[in-house]
Amino acid sequence: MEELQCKTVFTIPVFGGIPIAESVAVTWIIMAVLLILSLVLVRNLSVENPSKKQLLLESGVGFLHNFFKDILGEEGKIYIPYLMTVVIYIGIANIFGVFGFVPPTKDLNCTIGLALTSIFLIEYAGFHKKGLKGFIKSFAEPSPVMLPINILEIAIRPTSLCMRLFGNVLGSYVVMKLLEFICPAILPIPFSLYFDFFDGFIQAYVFVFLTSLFIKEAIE
Amino acid sequence: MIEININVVFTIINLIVLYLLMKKFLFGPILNVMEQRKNMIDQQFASAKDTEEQAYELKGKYEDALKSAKDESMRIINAAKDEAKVQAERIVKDANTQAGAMLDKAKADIRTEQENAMKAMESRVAEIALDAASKIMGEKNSSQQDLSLYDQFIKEAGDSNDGNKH
Repeated sequence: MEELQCKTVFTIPVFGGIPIAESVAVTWIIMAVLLILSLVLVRNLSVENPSKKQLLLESGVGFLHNFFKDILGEEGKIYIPYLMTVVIYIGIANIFGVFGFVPPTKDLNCTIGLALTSIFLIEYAGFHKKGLKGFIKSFAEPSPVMLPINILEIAIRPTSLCMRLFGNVLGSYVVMKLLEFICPAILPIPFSLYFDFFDGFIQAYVFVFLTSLFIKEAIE
Repeated sequence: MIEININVVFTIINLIVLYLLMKKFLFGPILNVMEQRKNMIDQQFASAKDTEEQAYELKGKYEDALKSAKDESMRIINAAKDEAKVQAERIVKDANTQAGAMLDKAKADIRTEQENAMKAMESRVAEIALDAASKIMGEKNSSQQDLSLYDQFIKEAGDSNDGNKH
């Protein structure tokens, strides 16, 4: 049961002590890794004769970019970098358990944070596109009967997003811990491939896919 | 096990910071390079198209020029042919005329010559006849008178003979 606990790594001794959860600390590590990788990989970019490394990087980023662009279209172009950041972050966070860290997405605080930013972005996209009047009016569409449901959606969408991610990662984390407890050698490998890599990437994909769909819906 | 606390805020801050960092250091440069390459390729395609169009235009121009040159040369050749024909005809005509004139002249010369020869022969025959007559007669008196007499005789005889001949 101790493994299910979200530990507090340290406490900042101001305002009566601010606890820093493990998920936040691991997120910092992920951020550092991503930043260093970016700085190392994104060097000597060339327009005319790209290196193999650059081609690989470009095809990866291009793939993500095209994926979101297909969903969002030309109008939602400004949200693409954020969605790409989130998919990379969640993808890495979900498989970070493999490297001996606790996946940050196992912490509900982390997924709530992600979902809140997502819902903020979704509503902002609608507001940005339609203006205040159109934004308010959009809650009464397609008919005023839908008004309460549309308002509820603001709460339901991020909840479903964060709970889905949290539940999946926590579940796979628990299963992996149990498997490691039963048999630490060989046995966890295929399960790790499924729970950490496959499920991890699927959840990252689902999270950003739904977010982009909602954004698309909001800017339509 | 489930507790929601200040770490939500930290996560959001982390996300925003990560987003800004990624945008600045990863997606920004890469998308920029990709965009630049796309622009470059588009530009190259456009310029290639332009060049092709220009080449086609030039080709058309050259073909026209070639065609007009061919026409021109054809025209010149035809003109030269016509002129040559006219000239040849003129030369042949001139030659014919000249030849005719020469022939006429030659005929006239021959006739004159013939006449001269006839005259000379007539005088020679008269002399010979006179000589023969004087030899026969043995003497020579009033020769001038005789000479005219023979002349007359020969002429008559010749004329009558000529008449028989013709």
